[in-house]
Amino acid sequence: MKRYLRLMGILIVLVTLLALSGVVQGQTNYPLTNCRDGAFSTEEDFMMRENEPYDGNPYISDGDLLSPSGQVCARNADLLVSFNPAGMAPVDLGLDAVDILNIPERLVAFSTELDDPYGKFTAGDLLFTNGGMIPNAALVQHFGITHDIGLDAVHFVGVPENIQAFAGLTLQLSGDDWLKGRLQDELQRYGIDIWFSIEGTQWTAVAAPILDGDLLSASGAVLVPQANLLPNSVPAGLPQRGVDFGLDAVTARRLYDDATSFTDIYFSTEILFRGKPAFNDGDVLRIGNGVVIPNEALIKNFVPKADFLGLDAFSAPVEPSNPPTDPNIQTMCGDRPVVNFDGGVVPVGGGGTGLYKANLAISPPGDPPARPCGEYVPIDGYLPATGVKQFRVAYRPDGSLVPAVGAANGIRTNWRLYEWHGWPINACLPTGNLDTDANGWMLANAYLGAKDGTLTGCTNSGLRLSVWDSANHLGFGPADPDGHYVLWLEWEDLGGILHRELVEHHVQLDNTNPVINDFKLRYTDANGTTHPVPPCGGASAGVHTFQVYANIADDYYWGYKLRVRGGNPPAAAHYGWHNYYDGTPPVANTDDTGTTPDSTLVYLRDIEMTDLGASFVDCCYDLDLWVRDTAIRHSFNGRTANDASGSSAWWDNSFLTFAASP
Amino acid sequence: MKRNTRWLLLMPLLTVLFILSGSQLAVTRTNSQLAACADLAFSTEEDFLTQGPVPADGNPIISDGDLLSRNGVVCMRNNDLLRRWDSNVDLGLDAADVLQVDQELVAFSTSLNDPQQRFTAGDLLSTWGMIIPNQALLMLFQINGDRGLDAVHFVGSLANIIAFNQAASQQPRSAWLENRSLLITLLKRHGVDIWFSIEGTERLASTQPIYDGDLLSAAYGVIVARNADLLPVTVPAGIPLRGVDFGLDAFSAPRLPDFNTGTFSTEILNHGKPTFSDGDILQSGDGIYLKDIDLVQPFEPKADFLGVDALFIHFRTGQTSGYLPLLLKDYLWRAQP
Repeated sequence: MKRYLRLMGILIVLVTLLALSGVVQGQTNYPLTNCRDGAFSTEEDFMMRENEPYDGNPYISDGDLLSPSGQVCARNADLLVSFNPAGMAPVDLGLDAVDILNIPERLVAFSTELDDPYGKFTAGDLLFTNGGMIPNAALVQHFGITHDIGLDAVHFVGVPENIQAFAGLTLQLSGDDWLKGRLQDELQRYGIDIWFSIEGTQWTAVAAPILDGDLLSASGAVLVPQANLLPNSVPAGLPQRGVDFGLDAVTARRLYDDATSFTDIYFSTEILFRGKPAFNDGDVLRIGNGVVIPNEALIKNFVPKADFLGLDAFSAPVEPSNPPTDPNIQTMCGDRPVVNFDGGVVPVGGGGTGLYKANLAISPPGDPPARPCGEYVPIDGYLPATGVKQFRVAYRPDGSLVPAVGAANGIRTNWRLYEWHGWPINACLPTGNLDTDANGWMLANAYLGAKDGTLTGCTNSGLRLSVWDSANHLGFGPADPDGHYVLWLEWEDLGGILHRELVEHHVQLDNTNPVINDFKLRYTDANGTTHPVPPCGGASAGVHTFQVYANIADDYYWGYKLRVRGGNPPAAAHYGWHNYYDGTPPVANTDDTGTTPDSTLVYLRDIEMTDLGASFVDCCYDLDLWVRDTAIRHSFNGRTANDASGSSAWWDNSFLTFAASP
Repeated sequence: MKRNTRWLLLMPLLTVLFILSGSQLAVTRTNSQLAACADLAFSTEEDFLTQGPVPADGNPIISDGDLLSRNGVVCMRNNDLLRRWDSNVDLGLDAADVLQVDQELVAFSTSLNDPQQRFTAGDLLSTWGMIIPNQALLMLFQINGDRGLDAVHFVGSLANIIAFNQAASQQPRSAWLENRSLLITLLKRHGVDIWFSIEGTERLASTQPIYDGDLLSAAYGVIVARNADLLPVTVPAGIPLRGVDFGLDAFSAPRLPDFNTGTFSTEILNHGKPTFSDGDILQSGDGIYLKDIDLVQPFEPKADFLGVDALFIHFRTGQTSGYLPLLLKDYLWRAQP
């Protein structure tokens, strides 16, 4: 019995060892489609702790191709299956650069970290999953580099069909063919280009160095120098700015109309930067800007034990002409694109503040102020004309566990529809109803038919995927009207299968108005002594400059304005809006939560009675203070949601009266 | 006249460029100031412009292939390290062990393969011309092929290490491959071991998986220290149990067979506790031994992080956590006029 138990024990250990040793045999039916929304590799190996890869092994190698949604798209051995000699156990050679060229065909261009142990290729060669290969020396030939200088990032540019045809050609040509100058000819013939970066720096005696942080073109040009990839505030580029940050991964659009203005280039560096904008060598950066995807957000769905694993290869469908075909949320808080919210488009479980900033996506960190959403929050997006039975916008509090599809709360919306009334009215009247069920599910046919009028006879263009009653006026809003929530779209297809967006959208709610806790007026006499002005009181004659003090508080404070009025004939002078970030002296004692220090009466600014002109006489005056917050608020009448952010209904106001004379 | 003016403008520019291209010129001269690296030597992950002391060759560009000291001196340019091979190409510097300053003996590995295919980025080289193929280092691990070389550290008495290097320098690269037991024989004959780490994960070894965060012994074919052994238990280091392989980018220790006294750097940073970057020098099983910024600060670079790719620290006899002597050295350096 003892012997039997020992044998059993040994067997269990052996099975465990086999699983962990992950002797992964390459296969050709790997789920590359998991990477349709992006792919990457990490710098180091780790164990994933949720879900399970397609081969059942939770060990993730830095040579595997991963998706931000937490799935393995291809094992290293799968990528190399065309290169591995028959019958030989595959070796994990790492994954240093990647570009997914065709998902259904499983065509991927990539490079490895290590040379092939069987001598077929080096770590600097450009490989294709179809078995094609272009030697590193051919890529760098036009730079006067004759040796293998490594390959750290790769991206193909051109018409996808031509790129695929070119990839097919790589099967027919040998390494020597490419080294005879064939590469440039063929790139020209197919009208495509290969963008890449190298591992080492090439110093030349008569020209600027080729840095491993430069984005190069196989045609022999430095496409984007390191200095142009990063913002001016980063000391990037040699010799002028002082540091080469490297270029570890790059992805971009396939097609560029104007070759002189490269936009939408995303990349990662070899080393981190602690200045502004700060970034890690695992973050995805945008050309000329800062971080667009933190490393943590990329890897979070694998639930690794560490929140940083680096980034060695990256590929994404950046092309603007490739809209998503699945339903998805595109705007929140009215017509504001989700990408302009911090965390507005993140992988499931990704982070963000949920605050909106104008131009955040185009030029991070965007324009101040950062804005939450309040009252009614319209949420809209894409819903295909067919194929969806019902849909809903689901939500969960930020930080809570990601629930299974269909298990979260859904936003409820009750619509009032225009419907056609025949004789004798012959007109559209808002008499119809279209409501979600208690879980927020909306029938897609009824919704689409009402929106375009095919079912109602009248268009209802104001319909949105949902309008969230965030302040809970109707009793089915969120538990916390000032909470931070994560939204995503769920839908049921015609076969009854539930789906969800592969990304999530953070939104911060705010239904608390700003408060003026205290408001005072003071003046300074000729001796420099400051005196309070009591309510309805006054200053001695000749005082025409008063100092305004206040204590203002709000979670998302924006600014204040003042108005003094009175005199004879009655007149008014206005000061502000003074927004906390505008850098002027009147906002010196304010920040994004009101006056600073918090809960303290502080000086705001002076008011000049002479601003009233001839109306400044010995008289009684009124001074008003208004404060507003940054929340974006909409009203909702069941038919349309209108932006009411500018309404004074959500401002706080305080006033005082005082006497003054010239 | 216009043309002359243009030439006048171009000439200084060309001169500057010529000076900046110094890595090629340096092939023919020896810029070595290895004595400055007697206590500590390192290489960065990326190139940068020094604003500190002007290097001896006058070129303010520091390559990630150069061997640097802790007081802002370029001890050896990459082509000084590769002088035996008359290389005019900067191949990077991935691992280094300064063995003998007076006789300019440094063991190291490059980041790129030799363009003339005399060695690979995974081979162990020395300034005396030694080339030990990566396969020879991995022989006892039953791994066939080059898996890269990320960290290297010689263990044994210094006299024996030097004797081993003398003997090894006499062997052509092919000898190690033809006679697979040659390295083991030489190491054991001299009572020396080579501790190292590889670039890739090797899961095909017959007994157990090897990760690039493990410290390996060439002489005995054993894992000297797992990634989990090197880092504190609060760090999720080690696969499969703790969850992540942090890599082992550099390792240096007293020349005793005890990894616990070692210092090292990782491939990736840790946001948890203790927080460290992949440029910090860590103490085995403990926290940070030396901050990344302290290493590069004497060069006054424009950025305060440049990473660490190769590392050597000289530990005096009995010195196990030798931070105090380093501090004293630092004080003396700063006190210099």
